[in-house]
Amino acid sequence: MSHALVSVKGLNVHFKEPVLKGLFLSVKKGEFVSIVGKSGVGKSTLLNAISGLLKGEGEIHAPPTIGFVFQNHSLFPWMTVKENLSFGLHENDEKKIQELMALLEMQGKENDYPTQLSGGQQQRVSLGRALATNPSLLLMDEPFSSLDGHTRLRMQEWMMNLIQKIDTTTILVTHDVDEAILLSDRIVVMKDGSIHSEHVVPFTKPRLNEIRYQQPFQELKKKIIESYD
Amino acid sequence: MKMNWKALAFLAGMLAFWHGIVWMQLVNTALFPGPFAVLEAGISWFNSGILLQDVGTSIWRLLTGLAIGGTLGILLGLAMGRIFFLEETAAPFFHILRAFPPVAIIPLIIVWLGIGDIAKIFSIAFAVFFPLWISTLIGVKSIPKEYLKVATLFSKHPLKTLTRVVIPAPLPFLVSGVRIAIGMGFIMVFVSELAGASSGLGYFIASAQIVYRVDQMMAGLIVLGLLSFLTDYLFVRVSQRLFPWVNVQ
Ligand SMILES: Nc1ncnc2c1ncn2[C@@H]1O[C@H](COP(=O)(O)OP(=O)(O)OP(=O)(O)O)[C@@H](O)[C@H]1O
Ligand SMILES: [Mg+2]
Repeated sequence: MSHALVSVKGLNVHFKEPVLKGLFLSVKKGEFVSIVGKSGVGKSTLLNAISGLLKGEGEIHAPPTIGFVFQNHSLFPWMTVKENLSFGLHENDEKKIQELMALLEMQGKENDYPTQLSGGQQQRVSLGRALATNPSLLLMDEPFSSLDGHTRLRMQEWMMNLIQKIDTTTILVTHDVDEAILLSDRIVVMKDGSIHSEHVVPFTKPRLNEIRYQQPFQELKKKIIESYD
Repeated sequence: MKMNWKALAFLAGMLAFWHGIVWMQLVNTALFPGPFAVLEAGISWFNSGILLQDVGTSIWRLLTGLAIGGTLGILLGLAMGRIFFLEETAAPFFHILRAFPPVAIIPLIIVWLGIGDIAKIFSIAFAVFFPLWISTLIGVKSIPKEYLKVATLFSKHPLKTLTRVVIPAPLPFLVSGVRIAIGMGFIMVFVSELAGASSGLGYFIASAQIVYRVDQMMAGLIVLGLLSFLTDYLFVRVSQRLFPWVNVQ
């Protein structure tokens, strides 16, 4: 068993009321973990705490270089695709940019502004910016939820392929249980400020979109959704 | 503003109507001169060399006032937008000042600063300060928190956050703030030149009024309007060029 890359021990975060209450979570190197749970349960708060953007009480061990993808306002509108991608880099690393553009399948769009891109393309660039610094940990907070249904399906498929190519440890927050099952090794359900249950996803990777219509997939989905309340 | 053939035809129609009224002698042409008389007044104004001088003076006052008031407005807007203590402490005071119609301060300015260029530039700067201060403040305060999070995660230098995120983010607000300020600046140029000036477009119109040269007054008004339109147009074009991502309309 490999060592935990991320470990959260007894994390408490308090706004007006306690949001995270003694939360424990551990993620292994190379693992893809999804966090699901009802709205307002503290999923984004947990990602913010892991990334260091938010201070909480408790112990958090996370690597120093972290990539973060947000649901909305994910790109700087005043920067071109290329400028957005290189925001985290020290200087204009043309080779790195071209490598990312190929990975994102966005060649030729280097000098476009975000408003000139489709929603799916914007989220890909946002992912590219998060990956540009070769982070050991990738955090994604509902990266596809602002996309329309069809684009979201295509992005999930594309993401499935991408995670086969890169071996970054990833924590994904999502409301879409299908998406969580399709992409993850493990799914954790948050409830009442802590992890309520965990579900290992047994299907071999890479997974095809079609598996969501199969019996075992549906059963796992049912089990996860039932554990929400 | 988009010019199309319908708009141009309508404009031509209105000019023809104006000319028609005068040509049929339905009005006293001394009080209501026709378009050709106004054009003639404009041409002789131009030929005398004074037109360009007046335009130059007014534009110089406007731009100096804009530069001073604008810089202060933008800097204070940035500072108050980023430092909550400053906003809490100082913003209410500026909101009270903002409530005064800027034109109404001119009599006081004349008493305090006289009628020279400094007084005029001060009134213009005072008037344009507020739209730029408030649009910068609102622009900075409405920066999506995601932008700041990305900035924090990716750059360890506060200066980089400032120059690459905090300053560009409110530009769409600033562009519309500058346009409001340009409009306001022209009002202030005109009003401040009405009283106690020896050149400038406001002065030209005011002195034409004393001698009942309505043709000259109208020519002055048209030049002032064209100038205001052109300044805004140029600003929009330059902004579109510099910040193609801002939706200027
Ligand atoms: N900066 C903040 N100040 C005060 N309260 C906050 C803040 N951020 C989050 N909260 C509160 O903490 C709780 C958890 O919020 P969080 O955004 O983590 O939920 P979430 O699980 O991500 O929800 P969603 O699925 O809707 O994104 C909510 O009740 C929210 O109102
Ligand atoms: Mg959230």
